[in-house]
Amino acid sequence: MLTKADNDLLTRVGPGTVMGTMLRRFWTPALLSDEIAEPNGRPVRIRLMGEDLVAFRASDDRVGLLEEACPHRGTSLGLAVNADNGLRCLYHGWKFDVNGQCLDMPAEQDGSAMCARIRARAYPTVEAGGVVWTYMGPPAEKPVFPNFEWLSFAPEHVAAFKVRADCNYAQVMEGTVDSAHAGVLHRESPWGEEAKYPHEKDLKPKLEIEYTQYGLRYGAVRTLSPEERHVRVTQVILPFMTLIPPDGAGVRKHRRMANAFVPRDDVSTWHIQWFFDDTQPVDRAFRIEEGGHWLIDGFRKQLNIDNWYQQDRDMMRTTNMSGIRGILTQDHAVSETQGAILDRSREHLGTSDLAVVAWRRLMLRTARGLAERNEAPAMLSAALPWQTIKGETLVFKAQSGWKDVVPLSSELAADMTTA
Amino acid sequence: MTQQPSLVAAIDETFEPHDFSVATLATISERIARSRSLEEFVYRESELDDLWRILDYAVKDAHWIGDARHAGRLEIIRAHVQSAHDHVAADVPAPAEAMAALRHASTEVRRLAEPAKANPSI
Repeated sequence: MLTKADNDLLTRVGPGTVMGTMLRRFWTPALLSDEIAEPNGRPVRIRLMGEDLVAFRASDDRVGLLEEACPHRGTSLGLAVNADNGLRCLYHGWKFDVNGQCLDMPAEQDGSAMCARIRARAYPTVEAGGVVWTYMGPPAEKPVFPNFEWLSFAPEHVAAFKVRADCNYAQVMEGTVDSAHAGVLHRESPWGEEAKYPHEKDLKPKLEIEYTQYGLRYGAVRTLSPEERHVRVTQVILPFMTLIPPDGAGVRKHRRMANAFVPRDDVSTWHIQWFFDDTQPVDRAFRIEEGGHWLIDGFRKQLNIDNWYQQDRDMMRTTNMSGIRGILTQDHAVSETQGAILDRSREHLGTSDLAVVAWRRLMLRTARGLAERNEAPAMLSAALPWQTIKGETLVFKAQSGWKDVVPLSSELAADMTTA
Repeated sequence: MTQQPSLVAAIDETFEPHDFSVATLATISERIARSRSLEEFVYRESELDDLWRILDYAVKDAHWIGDARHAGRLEIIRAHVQSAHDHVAADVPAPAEAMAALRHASTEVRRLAEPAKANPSI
């Protein structure tokens, strides 16, 4: 349960908002590299945190991310000519490089002198893991790029996807810090029939959390026998990333997943996912079938709220709990139907929602700490060993705890004592 | 049936309340008193979320059956629990204030007990 004020703080991400200011201090996945595959190719319009931007790949392969509106008359640079290392506006020919510097103003009397002073707002970019990342905060505060393990995998061992969710980022984010839903929403048998998998049989995992330098990690612990416990440890990286452990068999046995829930604006989200496996290539086609994220224009799902996810009542009686095809579509369905921005003052949370509460509190504390005391999140000022942060699935002896089996290193442990 | 403090979870685990009895309120209050880290206060917030929803549905039930007087008294208890929740959830948790709010809630529950003898939810 949040107060209305805290709910607003958590969910409003535009320029100048408390949360928006905090989010902009992090490196953020912005778009797929494939969207701007060709140098001098078509610029791509992209909305991020309520800002309308245009991305382009310049002649020398560098990626630019500029404010969409030309500084001259506001025409979209999505229409611009992309050539000779810059975007040239169709209206009067102003040209900008990847840093936003004006290079040419052909229709101005004193164009050369003036254009040295003109800049389009531009954000720095880094390409990694098939994704263009950007930093939208103050230039002087730009943190070290988080070099997660999968970002250096060979291309066939990592696959990036992007899907639009039509709701606030916090809703879809909260879905991945909520192990209790897995055995219900994703149940691969009709409700009332015998469950197929252990996590479907034990719907009440014991949740345990631990704050870290990078956010938090939480374990969903299930009892296998009097002597053994099973835990899935999910990593939650501030502000909106989760690292999901491997599960199952076959292609899922060693395959891990990372999620980023990047606010498009207050009411829509870019859900960027990576699947990565250092033991075998990632099967993209299998993942699309598994996730159910067949796409239409604008990275919208083919199965979406407008067609009620093509929920199939016969399937619910014979095949699965949801009657919805695909794990990702199921997740988006429950988040999107909460409304564009969920009112968290009207919820009825229980102890199974512990990790959701932990993430919200960390977000709110971090955002207010920055706004009120200029306290930057600790993870931004240190070069953390990002490659060591992983989701884990493991079995451990009942007399020990999973935090003892996979302890945090001293570099990653947080000091969260209050008294 | 109320839950005894000796039977509930460790401080770095969640205790799941099943009622809003004086004993349950005392158990949660005692757990707040022992909490030190932000992690532990998140566990306490989650327990208070759970307690709050028990009360919220008790309020709804009272309105549903048209017992406005009982509903009003439950709303006072719910407000104290919400206050305790918000103190525990503050950026700098305020355990003393949270425990004070739960003491106020306990006082109201005791007052409720006499007319509520016929109400099995208490």
